[in-house]
Amino acid sequence: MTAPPDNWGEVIEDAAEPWISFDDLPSPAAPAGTGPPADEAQPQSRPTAWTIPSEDFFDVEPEPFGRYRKVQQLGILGGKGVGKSYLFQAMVYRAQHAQRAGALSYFLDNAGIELVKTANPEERARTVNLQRFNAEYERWTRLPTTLAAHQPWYRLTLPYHIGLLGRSRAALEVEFFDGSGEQFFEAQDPRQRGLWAQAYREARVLAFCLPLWAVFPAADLSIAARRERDAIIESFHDVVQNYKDMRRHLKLRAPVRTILALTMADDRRCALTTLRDTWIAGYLQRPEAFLAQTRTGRGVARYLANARRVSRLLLDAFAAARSPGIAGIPNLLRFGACRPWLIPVSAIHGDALDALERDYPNPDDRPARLPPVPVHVELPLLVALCEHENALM
Amino acid sequence: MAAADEPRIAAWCPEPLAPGSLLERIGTLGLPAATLSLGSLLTLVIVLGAVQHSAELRSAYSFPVLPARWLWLVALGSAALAWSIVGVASRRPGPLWPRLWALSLALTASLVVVGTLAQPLLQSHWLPSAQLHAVVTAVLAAVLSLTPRLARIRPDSPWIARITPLTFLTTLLLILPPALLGSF
Ligand SMILES: Nc1nc2c(ncn2[C@@H]2O[C@H](COP(=O)(O)OP(=O)(O)O)[C@@H](O)[C@H]2O)c(=O)[nH]1
Ligand SMILES: [Mg+2]
Repeated sequence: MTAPPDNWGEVIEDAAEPWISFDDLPSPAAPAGTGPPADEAQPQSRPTAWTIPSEDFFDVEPEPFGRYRKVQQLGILGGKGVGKSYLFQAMVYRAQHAQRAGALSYFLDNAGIELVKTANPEERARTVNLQRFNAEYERWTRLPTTLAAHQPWYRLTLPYHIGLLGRSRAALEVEFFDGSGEQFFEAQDPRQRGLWAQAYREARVLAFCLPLWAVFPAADLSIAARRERDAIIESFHDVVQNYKDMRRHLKLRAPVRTILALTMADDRRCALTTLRDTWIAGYLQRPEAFLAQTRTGRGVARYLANARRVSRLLLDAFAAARSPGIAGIPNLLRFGACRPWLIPVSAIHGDALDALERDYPNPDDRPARLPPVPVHVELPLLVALCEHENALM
Repeated sequence: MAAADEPRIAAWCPEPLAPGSLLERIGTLGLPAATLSLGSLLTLVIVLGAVQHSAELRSAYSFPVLPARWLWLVALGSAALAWSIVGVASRRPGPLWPRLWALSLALTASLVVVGTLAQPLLQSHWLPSAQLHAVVTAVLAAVLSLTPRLARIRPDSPWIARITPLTFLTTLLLILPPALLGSF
């Protein structure tokens, strides 16, 4: 191979001008000493130091995804169409910039998060362009349904400062498997067992997703919505059963912290109007004030105190449900730790999304709009951070 | 039957950043890492002030309960605890000043150990016994009130808002009465 056509990065050494040679510096892809592969070596007469080691030089991890160092796994589980993919999308969007990361702002470093993705944990992961990852969401384009043929694995890296004087950096790495609701989570299919074990065997924090409106439906629900609701509750029990079966088969004893993410809390089909008008609207309608206040420790402390109160109110509401299948849900999610934390979240304003799709079937015709406001989606990430680092203390 | 499952809908639900009652406002002035550090600083100042507030105490205060020859052991215990807090807390995310406080306290506690060991040898005027005893008491109190940082608290725990006021009051109650009564 001769010199790269545009010569970028090439250092030509001149004996008269003893510049530092790039040979002296370890290159990130080829550690010092290994040198470039023989077929890429430059002719001796023109020693250049900077050759491109391989086509995988950019944004590809050196090791296969699944055999990476130990990371915190955050499981997001739930049946079909309960908002798992939206929740993860909204988490990434919320965390993208530390100053706008809500309750995470206080902890995160400004260096910015990183996201890698792979189709298979045995393969190497590629860095995801966050701008591209968030673009569809930001433009209010509905995310596609996750299909069994394409179930990606993600790892989100959230950097923060550590050290005696806070000068060093460390990162929380959260792994997430975006499975198909119908063909993976709900399916009682022995062929999926390997995947279940791969994705959730090590997970210490699990967020089970269940639409809030399906648990507490409004009295005037349409017949179609009522049917959808029954299916959602049934499939939720399938998902929990599948997870329990996995724990039993693998004899897992380690306690697992669970979150019941009550998704779509903005949905008008939900009977809990007070909760929607305060806990959700208080963030959704004044996101800037919320984000500014949660940058301080006092804001985060107040926020957590109120989140806990909301969780308690919801536990009472669950306990008062007449149907045993609903009333028992919080206790179903105890896996060696205490009861789940109930967090109503909203990844996107559903009414606005529906109205936009109705009025402008072609996404290109849509007028400019403020981006969506993901509400309370950072809390599961905060739980993972505290589980990993005990960050509050 | 959707209607049958309808809960007794809570008539009240907080806004995300509602300040809450006065007690809760005090409890949520900050996250435990920061408020415990502030509490520890206050404890140091209060205890030092209390055991040195009169001329009598300034000349004759001595550490309660233990005989004076074991004072270095108390100082050593405080220093060990302070350094273990520094070690554990420095690996966590969060802002700078709780780190700085933990480090300063550990350094102070280490200096105090040196002081307690050196004092019997020196018998000098710059390290009078009453003052040394007062500093040992105050550092012990400050370290004790920072010790809950070793505990694990999860984000859904009610202890987030309670731990600091409780630790602050407990430490003062534990240290001040014996310190003030024992020295007469
Ligand atoms: N109102 C509302 N609807 C949501 C929200 N998140 C998801 N949805 C709706 O639920 C549908 C399915 O969401 P998706 O995340 O793909 O579900 P998944 O199958 O669990 O991954 C979306 O197309 C939205 O219409 C939300 O936060 N609020
Ligand atoms: Mg999906």
